[in-house]
Amino acid sequence: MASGRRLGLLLLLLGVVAAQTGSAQDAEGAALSRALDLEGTGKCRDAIPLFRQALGATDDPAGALFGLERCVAEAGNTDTLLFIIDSVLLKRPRDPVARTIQLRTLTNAHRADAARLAFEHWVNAVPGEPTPFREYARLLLDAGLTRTADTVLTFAMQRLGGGRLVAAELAELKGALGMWESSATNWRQAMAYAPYLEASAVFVLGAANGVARDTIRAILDADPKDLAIRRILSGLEMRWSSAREAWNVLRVLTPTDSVVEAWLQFAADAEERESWLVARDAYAAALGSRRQASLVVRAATASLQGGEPASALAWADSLASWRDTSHAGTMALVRLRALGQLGRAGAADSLLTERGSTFDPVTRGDAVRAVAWAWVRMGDVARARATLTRGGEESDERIAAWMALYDGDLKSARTGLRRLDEVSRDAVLALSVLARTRDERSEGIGRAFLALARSDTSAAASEFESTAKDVVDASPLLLAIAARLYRSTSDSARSEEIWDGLITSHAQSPEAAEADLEWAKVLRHQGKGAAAIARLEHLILTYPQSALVPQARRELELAKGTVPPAPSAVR
Amino acid sequence: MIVSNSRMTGTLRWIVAAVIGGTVVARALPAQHLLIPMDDRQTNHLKAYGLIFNALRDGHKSEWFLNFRGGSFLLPDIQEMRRRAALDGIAFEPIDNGRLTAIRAEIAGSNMDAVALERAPKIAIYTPPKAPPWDDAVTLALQYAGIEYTAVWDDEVIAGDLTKYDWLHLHHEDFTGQLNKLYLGFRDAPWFVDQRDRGLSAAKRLGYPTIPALKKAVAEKMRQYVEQGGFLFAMCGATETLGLAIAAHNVDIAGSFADGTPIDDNADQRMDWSRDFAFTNVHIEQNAFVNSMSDIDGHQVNVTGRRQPLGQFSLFGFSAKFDPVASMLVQNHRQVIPDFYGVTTSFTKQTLKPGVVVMASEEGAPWVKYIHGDYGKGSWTFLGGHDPEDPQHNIGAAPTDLSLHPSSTGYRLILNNVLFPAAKKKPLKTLIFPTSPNDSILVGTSRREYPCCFPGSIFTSAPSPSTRSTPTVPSCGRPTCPRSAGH
Repeated sequence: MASGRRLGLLLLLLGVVAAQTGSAQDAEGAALSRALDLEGTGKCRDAIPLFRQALGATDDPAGALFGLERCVAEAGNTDTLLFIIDSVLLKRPRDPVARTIQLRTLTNAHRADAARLAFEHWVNAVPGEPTPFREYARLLLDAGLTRTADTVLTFAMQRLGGGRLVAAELAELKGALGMWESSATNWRQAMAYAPYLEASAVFVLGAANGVARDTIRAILDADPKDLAIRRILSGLEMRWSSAREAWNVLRVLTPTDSVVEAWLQFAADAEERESWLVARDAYAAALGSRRQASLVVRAATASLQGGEPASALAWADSLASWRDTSHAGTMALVRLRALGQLGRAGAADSLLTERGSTFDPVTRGDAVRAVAWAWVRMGDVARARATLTRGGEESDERIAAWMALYDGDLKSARTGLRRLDEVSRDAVLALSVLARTRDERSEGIGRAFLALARSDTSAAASEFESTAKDVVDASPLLLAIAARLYRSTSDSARSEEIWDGLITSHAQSPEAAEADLEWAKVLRHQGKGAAAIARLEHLILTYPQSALVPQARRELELAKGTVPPAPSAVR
Repeated sequence: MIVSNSRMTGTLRWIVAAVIGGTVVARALPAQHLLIPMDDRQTNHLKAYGLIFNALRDGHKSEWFLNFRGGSFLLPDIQEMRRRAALDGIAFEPIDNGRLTAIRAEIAGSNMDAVALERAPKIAIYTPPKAPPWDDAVTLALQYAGIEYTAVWDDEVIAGDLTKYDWLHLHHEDFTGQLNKLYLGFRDAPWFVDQRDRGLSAAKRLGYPTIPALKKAVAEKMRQYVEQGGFLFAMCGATETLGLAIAAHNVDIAGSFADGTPIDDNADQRMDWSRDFAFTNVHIEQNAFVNSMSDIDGHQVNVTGRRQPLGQFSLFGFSAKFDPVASMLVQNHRQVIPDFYGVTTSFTKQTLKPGVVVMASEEGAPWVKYIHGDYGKGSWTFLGGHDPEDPQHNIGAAPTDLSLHPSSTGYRLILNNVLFPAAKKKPLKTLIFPTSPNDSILVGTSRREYPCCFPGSIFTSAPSPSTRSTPTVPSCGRPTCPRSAGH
């Protein structure tokens, strides 16, 4: 009976203890939660006691310690924080968070001796561990104390039997000192245990100058070709040269799951940078290992955006053979646009007729406008209008503006084209003409641009030249355009006549300097060096303020043979 | 005295007319001079040298204002000069006599000097026939600056044609005849085969059994050219191998791969360095597999394990009034210049002769970069390295496009050498200077070299040649001291 009572008492006691422990943990959780809420509302002073309360009743004080660090720092009471940390360290001398906060606080307070002492205590508390060295060195580097960081890392190498475990910090230090070769080597080592520091490596090494870059490339390019290291090199090439070079670094990797993931991430980054064709290639590489229709769509879209409609069309065709209909709508639109860009408006129109009914209303509207735009770019205004009418769609601003231009309605074209963000060569040319004249109508200019759209360069040149007589205020520009077009049809004689006229009759126009330069280029390519030199000298001396003078000087150097004509093998 | 209104009005009219007329005339007339600044205001430093050279060639006079605004030039203000400057993108400042007087006063009161430039020197470049002008830094610079030169090769040198020229340039030619010891690595490369065949055919044509024998004879002709009053400027490997070839006139220092016979025993001991311009006590690299000629070069770029990293070198300042030659050679708008490799990149201090004037060196390094000296009636200048704007210069690298480096500090050093023979000789005053290369001495400290004062100078100290290694500043108390007062 007595033993039964004792057992009951013991169970009761255990129950009480368990309840108290649970309630203590609940109280700690509640205190931390309330402290964070108060901190979030900007009441840091009120949050401090709650953080301290949470700190006293937990086995994992990290959250409370970080909260205290933030709030005490805001209150500006460093000593209070250090006192709290000291009390935590009495109980938990190996706690890395408490140790790190202690070092950070002392370093930020410029209490170098105390920081060094704290660092030594930490090292002694965790013999053989690299964390104290890493944390302290990083703090010192952030504070710009490279020499002290160097001492710490040298000490680390002695205590840890080499620099492998502090390679990232060594790499950062060497980078800060401009010792790029060592830095790159250390980053290679660091990637073995800290691949997440890839972005830091790119940031540090990215500051290297031209000569050092080749050294860094050689180190990171060496075998074995580890993914993390290749990603660093790729990131550096993205900064130093181009997205294409960056992709070249990654594409040589054997496609494992993580490599393909890296390729896809790279492709997405390249899309953001509008390096569309590089993104397309990265998607294409990933497709070799992952047969996903969504990747084909992205590759095709990237091709289209990158100005390679033929490639987009090829991707669309490849997907058709998969018999995967999940992206059929999107791909049909890509195909339509690609056909339009390729000048195959008829094929695009047929596709619209064939697939239009399966599109949702929004996609269908896009498709109709894409086909109409294809007709417009071919200069077939009537069919563009017919497509829009048939599709029940109104022309968008772009189509309307270009159709107005082809009609010779300069006023509407001017208003419409200015609103667009189109930066195609034709758009820039049209805007430059429209900006030079105040005329509201010119059938000739309309015909000239229509001929350009139909790729009839000779007719366009002829129209621009003849219209120059009527549109007096834009006459030099129209003549310059005509000369350029004649030149592209290999009718250099006609171009030269126009350039001569520009230089003599429109000497004060901006096109006169351009005429000198263009003429000189033609003469130089014809082997008429002396005549080219005369033209270039005329430009430089007559229009010394022209923005074309640097170009003219460069041409002059080439014409005189005072600089190498092109890179060639020399010893 | 009463002056009538009408007379007053008449006088005023005359004054007004004179003022207006004067203004119009002043505007119509050009300034008297054109100052070509060579400091950071200059937009094309390299072309400026071409402008001056061609002005001299056309019979115009010029002046070089040493240490004034980076070593500026003065030209007469004539339309043609303005035209050429405008075409080449050279910055110039029209100045009148008043401004020029102020400049001269500034020059007189500072470590500056005005050196008259009289005539364009005749320039010869020792380069193989049909070599493109992009093959070496000097032809690149001359071509870019628009400075005329004549290419000479073994036939012309052996025929004694060098006497027709004031200035001779050498670049990476190997005067030991070993084709820069590239035989092992490039013997099948078309350019190497072509170079070797060209050398063999020239040797045969000129009556020499081997390429080393021909090159030794060519080197001797060049030594005589300088001795008789010529100016020699060498860069890259020519600096080192010319010295080796001259000192080896009675020694076989070419490996058997080059002439079929082994290098002479005790070659180091048998070299006659008294005949050479710059070097002495040199150790010859006899191993055919080591791509180095000797211990003259401090950087040893082509020898794995010996190769030294590139740093930067500092130009020394000299007294413009007392040491105009060295001053001319170091005119620049920067005093610290990034180093650049060449077959011979630098010159070790331990192999320099006493009397060699060091014009640039790397602080703390056991080598120097840019040296000058007199020899017989002439003088020589050596600049280590191949191309100042292509520090690594690997075989097959694209040629340097100087239009991308119009203010290259390294190339300015080359062009200083082109213009310095144009300087008018100043009469020697009370100074007596040695003419033999063995009479002069240079005192070197661990960080900097100072030309010392010579016996017979107006200064007091006369250190003996044996004091070369003594780290002593000349007792004249100047960092520079009077040497030859011009050429």
